[in-house]
Amino acid sequence: MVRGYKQEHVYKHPWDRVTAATWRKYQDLDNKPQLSHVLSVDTIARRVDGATGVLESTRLVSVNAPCPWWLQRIIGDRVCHCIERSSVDAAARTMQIVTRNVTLKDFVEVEEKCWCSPHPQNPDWTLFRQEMNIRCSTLSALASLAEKIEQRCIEKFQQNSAKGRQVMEQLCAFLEKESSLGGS
Amino acid sequence: SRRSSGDPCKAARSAYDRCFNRWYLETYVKKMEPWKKEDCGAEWEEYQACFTKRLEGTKIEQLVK
Repeated sequence: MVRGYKQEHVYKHPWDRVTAATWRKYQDLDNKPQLSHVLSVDTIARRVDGATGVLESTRLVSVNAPCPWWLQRIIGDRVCHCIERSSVDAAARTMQIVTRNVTLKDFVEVEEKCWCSPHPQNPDWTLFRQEMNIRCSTLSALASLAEKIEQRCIEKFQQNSAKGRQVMEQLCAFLEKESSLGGS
Repeated sequence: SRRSSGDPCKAARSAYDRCFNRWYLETYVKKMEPWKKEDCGAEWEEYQACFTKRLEGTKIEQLVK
């Protein structure tokens, strides 16, 4: 069974700034209490295509995953690891991010996709679309457990994405101020 | 906090992130030549050396490869 969740948000900031904020969102985590569930984010690969100029990055995202003791037994820890792959095209003004869990991937696949591009009606604004899909594998013996996990994931995702947007808005405001001071 | 319990690569990561942020906003998105080349090589090497060593022997090591 696959459950999905979609969301759109308009940042009233240009695409350059919003994508810059996206990179900074998971940096300097000690100063972002809204993101206390994120333990660490490390870049494990990055390259710019010499021909197309597309910037590809892979990051390891480690998230604090409070869970019932029996689930912790299965995972072996209270940390959930995810791999985030992203692609930024400076020429086309697009950014796409796909994040998938590595922890428990044989039992449940949680995939989050994001797209970021200039707003079609206002080039100084940015349209941010998010989609989350969850699928419990057929290896999951207990259907009710699978449903509980899915429901929890969706709730958590909704809460976290609201917090994430808050951090993003703050970062965009900060970068806006910085760029006007720098007179660039 | 769970986070600050000894991440030996924190400084190297911050140095790389700062360099990347600057390159991204000042060079890459503005397509200032040579924008198809990230110029944080030294910071990246130091960060990755630390990070690879830190992952050695952990269960994530295989996942990341």
